[in-house]
Amino acid sequence: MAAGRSLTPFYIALALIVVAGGALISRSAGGRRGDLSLAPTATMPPIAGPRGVAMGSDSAPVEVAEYSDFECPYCARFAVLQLPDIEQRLVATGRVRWRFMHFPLDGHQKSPQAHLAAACANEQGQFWRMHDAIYQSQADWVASRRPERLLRDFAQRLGLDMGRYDSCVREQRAWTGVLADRRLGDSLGVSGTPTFFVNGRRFESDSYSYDALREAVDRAAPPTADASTAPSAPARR
Amino acid sequence: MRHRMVAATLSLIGLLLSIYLTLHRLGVVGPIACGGSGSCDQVQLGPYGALFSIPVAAYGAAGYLALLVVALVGLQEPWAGRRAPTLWLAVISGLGVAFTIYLTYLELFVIHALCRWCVASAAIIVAVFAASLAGLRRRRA
Repeated sequence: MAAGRSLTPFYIALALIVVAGGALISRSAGGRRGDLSLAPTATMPPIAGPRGVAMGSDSAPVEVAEYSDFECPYCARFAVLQLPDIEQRLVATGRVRWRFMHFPLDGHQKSPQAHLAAACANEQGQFWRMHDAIYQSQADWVASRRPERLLRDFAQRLGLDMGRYDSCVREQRAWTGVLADRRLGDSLGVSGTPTFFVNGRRFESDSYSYDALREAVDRAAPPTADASTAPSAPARR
Repeated sequence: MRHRMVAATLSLIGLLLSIYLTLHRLGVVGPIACGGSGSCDQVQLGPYGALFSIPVAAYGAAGYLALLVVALVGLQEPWAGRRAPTLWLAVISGLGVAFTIYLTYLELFVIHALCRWCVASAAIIVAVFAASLAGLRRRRA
């Protein structure tokens, strides 16, 4: 058929586009499951003073610092899907002390309000519950024109002293702590979130899953025989 | 005939792009962090990244697939000499352009972030629409 012959080069071109596009997509998907590497691209001095918010035992052999942004969807995914496992299996067993570091990204316009709200909840010892509420409802407050109202609702539901909370937000009392975290992150070369440091070494991976982080923790401090039966440390404080 | 070949080629590229964006929304491909990937994370993973629980990009994939099928069928006999496939291409891509205008409005004025892949898709659908209109004009002339 004449028409079929004349169209053959065209069909070949379409097939090449399919092959090239499929290869690009497949390569992109493969990147998510790559091997773990603990590249020493940056080192972090031991965190001294009241920087970030920690949970777990002070005597834990490994400290993981997480630089996180409340408006970042990847941070929300990590906080909702991975952190509960990490808290239960690594933090509560005394192996890891987890430190949340505020890192509001420049392009995220509503993030500062969420970080301030969480830092104000921290004044009343409720950072982690506020952290969970903010991440679990990220889609709602990010889409809201008045996110501060939703954030205040979270604080109210958590039973915070609202007088203290309101004055903290109004006076931006806790903001300097957020900025201090951000500046420390900047000095360490943090440019995106989430970024993790395991005992001061930057943790780079194609997958921020429980398994990947546990492997990094194991490398930093190999588990002892009785680690799995270690008495539970109070995780959140 | 040439406008249908152009439409088919662009629709195929748009289809692959939409599949990528759908998989990105579902968390199968793409970056795993914020900060280094432009604004696609904000657009794609935010509340406007899905419509009726289906990724917006999946609607785009369906539209591009329809365009591709119409364009390829329009290259075969007996459709090659008929006007209907070009008309369908213009109607479907016209709807796509309207949907794209709405999505771009959301990006610029509601989300305040512009995803480069979404911009690329917008350019493709506009080009398909232009090719269809050119085909219609040529047949009329």
